[in-house]
Amino acid sequence: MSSAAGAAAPHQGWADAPCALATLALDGTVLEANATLLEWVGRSRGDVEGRLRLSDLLSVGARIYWETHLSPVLHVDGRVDEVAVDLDGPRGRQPVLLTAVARSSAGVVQVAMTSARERWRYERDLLAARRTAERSAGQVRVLQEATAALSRALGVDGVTRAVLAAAVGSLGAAGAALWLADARGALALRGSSGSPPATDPSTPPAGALLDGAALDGAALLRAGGVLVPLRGQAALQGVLHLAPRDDPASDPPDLEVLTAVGQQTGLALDRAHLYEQSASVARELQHSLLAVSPPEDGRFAVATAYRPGVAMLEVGGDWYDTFWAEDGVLAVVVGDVVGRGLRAASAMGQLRSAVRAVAAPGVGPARLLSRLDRFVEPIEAAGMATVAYAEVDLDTGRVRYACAGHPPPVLVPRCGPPRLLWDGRSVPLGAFGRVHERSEAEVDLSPGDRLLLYTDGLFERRERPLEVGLEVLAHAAAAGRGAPPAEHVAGLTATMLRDERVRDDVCVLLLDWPGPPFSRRLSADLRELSALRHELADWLAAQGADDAARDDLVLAASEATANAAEHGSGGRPEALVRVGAHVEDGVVVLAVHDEGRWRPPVPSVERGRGLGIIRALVGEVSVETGSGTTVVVRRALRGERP
Amino acid sequence: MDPLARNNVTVGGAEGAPPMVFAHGFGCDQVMWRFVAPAFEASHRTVLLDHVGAGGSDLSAYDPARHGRLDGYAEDLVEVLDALALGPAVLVGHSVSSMIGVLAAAARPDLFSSLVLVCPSPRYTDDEGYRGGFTAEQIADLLDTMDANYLGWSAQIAPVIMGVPHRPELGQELASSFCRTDPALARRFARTTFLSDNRADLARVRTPSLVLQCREDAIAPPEVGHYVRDHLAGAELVVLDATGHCPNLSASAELVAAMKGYLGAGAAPAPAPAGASR
Repeated sequence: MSSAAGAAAPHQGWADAPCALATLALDGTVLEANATLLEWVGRSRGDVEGRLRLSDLLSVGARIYWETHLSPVLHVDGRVDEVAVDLDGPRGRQPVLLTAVARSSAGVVQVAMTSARERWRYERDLLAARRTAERSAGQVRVLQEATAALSRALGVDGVTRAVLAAAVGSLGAAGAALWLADARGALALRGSSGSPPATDPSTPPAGALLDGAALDGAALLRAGGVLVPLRGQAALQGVLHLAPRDDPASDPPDLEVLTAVGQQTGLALDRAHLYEQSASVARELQHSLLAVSPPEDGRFAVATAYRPGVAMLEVGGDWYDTFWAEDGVLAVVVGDVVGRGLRAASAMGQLRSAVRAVAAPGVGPARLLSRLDRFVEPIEAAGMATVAYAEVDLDTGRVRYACAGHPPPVLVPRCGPPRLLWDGRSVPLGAFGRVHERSEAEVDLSPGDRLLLYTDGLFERRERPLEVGLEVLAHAAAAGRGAPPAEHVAGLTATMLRDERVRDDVCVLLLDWPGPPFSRRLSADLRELSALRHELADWLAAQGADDAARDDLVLAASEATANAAEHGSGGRPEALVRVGAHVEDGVVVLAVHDEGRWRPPVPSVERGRGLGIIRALVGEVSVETGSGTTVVVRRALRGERP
Repeated sequence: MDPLARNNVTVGGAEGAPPMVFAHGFGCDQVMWRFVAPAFEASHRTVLLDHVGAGGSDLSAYDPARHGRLDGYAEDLVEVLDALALGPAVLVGHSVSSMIGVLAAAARPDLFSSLVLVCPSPRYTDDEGYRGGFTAEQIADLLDTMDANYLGWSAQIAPVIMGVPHRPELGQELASSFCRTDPALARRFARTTFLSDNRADLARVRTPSLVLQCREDAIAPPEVGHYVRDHLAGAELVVLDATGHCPNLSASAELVAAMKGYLGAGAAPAPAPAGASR
């Protein structure tokens, strides 16, 4: 068609063409309409030509579309092609496909419309299919997002956070309130997000849920919002109360999706309750196992720390233990069972008991570990457990130790650099499903030395190599050695865990060996008094006495010894004075014994005066008489004199 | 996010001159100002933008919560003006953008020297004592019509990109993008546009404004124009001798003349607009 033909007078073919044809002015006014168009819109030529605009002949929706979309395109592009619109006709709507071309030179727009009734039916089916597909794709996406968030959630708090976030996120609500059922089924408000429905926080919105409709777990649209029942396997776990968005563009709540999310949330709450229950059983178990008090004996001190992993829900399989391996030989153990939760905790309990059961006089660390290999065979969760085991002879300070895949113990001497004990190593328990040859090693403690056993959470960090972590640990352990054992452990744990990003279980056991009790004999000529003072000072330091206590006690001891030598020996230079000391509950008990007879202070002014000095120094002094005389002095290891 | 990239902002006209911002209406993009904006390039710094979801905007910036209300689009506009920092602007808003401008001017009067509202309507659906022109069912009918052209829309992209033989002067870039947008976003924008009620917001505006109404407009009937004038403090109403809802395309010369008359001495004389002869 040439542009000149556009404005030409219609001929017969134009008038009764099987499609609707029209010529419009540029503002849309119909200048000419053919018979088909007039028939489709059910109007006379006089009503239309020169009076109405094309958009007046369209359905309302199509009219808006024409004004907002088609007319602008026609002005800018000069044509629109194959647009689906409806004509408003006497027998209802006439769907047409419209093509329009602007002929600017002639000042007209030519329009052709073909009936699209059949095609529209087909397209409508296509569109419906497409909408359904898009809607289910959208529903599946929302469901998947919600389900993924719920399955990642830990515990009831985690599920609460996940479902409240999903409500105002992918579920598109303006706000949400979560009500959870307690053991008796009563609902209580647990949390909210966004702008939750306006309800009284003391009154659950669940009245409606008690009617029959809720029993099948379907979401309900109510005036105050949408109620989504959260059904678990056995009972209603709670109700999610949603406030739909009121934006003009927002979609109405999709009850199908909400019902499905409600079911998922109910099951997630089931799981969360179970999980918390099992976590709390595991926690209880671990606590009860670790709470067993260590043997008591003045010859050593043990301090321990246990810090559970993430959020108290992740109970791990770390443990420590101390018990008598034989008379005078203390066993100290730290171990780590692979995994978390109840399984790991119960495997830990069994392994801990097994260590005690297989330890016996004469067994020793290496054979003990081999026996444990056999023991872990049937207990799957205990396989690949690591153990550091040491036996300490409390009289000599000799330590026999062995590590099955466990980080090395640290020897923290009273003076000098710390040492990682790298000997006596072998593979983890039950590794490769067999019993292993195990090696062990020995090291001697000096009085005042400490031995540190721990699990990997104390030093392992993803961002640094293991050796570096161990060096940091050894350094930190040495830095705290002046403090009493409990403070030493607390300080070390705090220092080491400061930079931790991922919370892991941490077990720490510190053995403090002050060495054997102090015991010396001196002849009454006191030639050895100076040596005694040095030895006693050294011994006191090994016990952890502070400077004030050491000075006081050394002075008190020399005073008492001098007193004993002068008054208790009866003038015989070969007579002996015995000086002994040991620690009881942080208090040094110093005893100076001579063979003389105690006489009351009045007859012996000198002796009485010596006692006065001692009393002034240490506060607590007693005198025992029997075969000879014993002056007993008590003073705390630390702090100012009373 | 850079608001200028997000809204596909185009800046032109006289540097240092007072800014004039053009915001397009529902169904189109900034191209619809092609016959109007050039008329102000000598006297103003012209700023054109596409609302998120339209034209060359960043579709990924569409946020169902933010853009579910016209306030979200007003926030976008404020961010654009803040980012440009050109001083108080003349806002020229067509159709739904006139209400977006009203919301922006109510929130940030410092950014606007005057408003030019082309075919505004604060509410398209009828209400008690108010005639917006449509019922909610008729708006649903619009969504159906949009859906009916959904398939055609997808199918048409390819040939359109190949070129526009019948109007080569427009260039293929223009023809391939004009008034075409993601149908899902267009559907949401239709609901935001036609189901919003911003009547109460008119009273919050103190910026002087010009209301331009067409003699006949199927989308915004004359009484709506009067309503806007009556409820907007310091508003002037000019009825253009034009029909339809897009005088910026169909009667650009009249529109430009009315704007220049209103802006008065503030606007320097400009050459005849390029598209005015059509």
